[in-house]
Amino acid sequence: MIAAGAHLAMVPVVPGQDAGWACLSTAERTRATRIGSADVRTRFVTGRATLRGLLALELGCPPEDVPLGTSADGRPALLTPTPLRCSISHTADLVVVAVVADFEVGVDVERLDRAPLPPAASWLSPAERCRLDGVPEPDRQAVLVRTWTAKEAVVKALGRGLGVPLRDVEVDGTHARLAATTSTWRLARLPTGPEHVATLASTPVTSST
Amino acid sequence: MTTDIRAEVLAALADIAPEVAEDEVDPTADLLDEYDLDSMDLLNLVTQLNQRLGVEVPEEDYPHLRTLDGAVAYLSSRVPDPAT
Repeated sequence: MIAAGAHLAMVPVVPGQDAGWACLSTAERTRATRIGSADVRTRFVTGRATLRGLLALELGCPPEDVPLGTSADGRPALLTPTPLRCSISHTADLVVVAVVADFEVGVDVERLDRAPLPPAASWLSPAERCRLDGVPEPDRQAVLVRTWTAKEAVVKALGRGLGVPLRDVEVDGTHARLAATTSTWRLARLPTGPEHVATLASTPVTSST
Repeated sequence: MTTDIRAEVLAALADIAPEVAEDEVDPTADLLDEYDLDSMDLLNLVTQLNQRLGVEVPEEDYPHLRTLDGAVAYLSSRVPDPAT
């Protein structure tokens, strides 16, 4: 089942551009102020402000009134009961945000030239490593980064923090499965342009919670 | 010994995220939030720590690595004792 009606935003991160600050909550501003690096702070502000913009459209309120907080595991989440789920990912130069109703959702974006990638054995399943062996060398980096974004998107949607072994998220084409569970995730590659790869993972709320 | 572990963690951090200048790391700051390390950086850090200190860090213990002080405390109890 595909998450119908997902709302996506992709926004370039512009150093020094913190216009989104105005719509952030007190808690978000406090968190942003703790960030020492101006560039890192801009990424955070851009991500949160973009997410507030999307949620504002859904909720019919101004971005600054969106009851956006942070879940216990550090993910952005609405503080009021709602079918809406959301996810933020960023690189140094691009923020990707997704909002969807009734589906658990996770997004992850990486630069295609991201390096170094961790050793394959530390995050690919045996089956994935087997398939990778059949990929011509010039295509490997792209396949690896794409696979990473798929796994990371699922882990983010699961919301269990850093403790989910990426090896247990088995990626195969447009789907991912979580080892030792019946949890199945639909994967969508997002149109980011030639320098980035981004994947959205979704599953109906009822089947995974 | 603790000093050595701290130095190794800082060296590993400098390796995986050169933008994190060693002398600027706040020992209690969340590395993911405040220095913008992500899961891939964390997995690279785990790999580096394994090579440098001989410690295998299982996934469920990754949250211990979110701060410099947390990582040093966690690793201090797990680094193989050269005397044994």
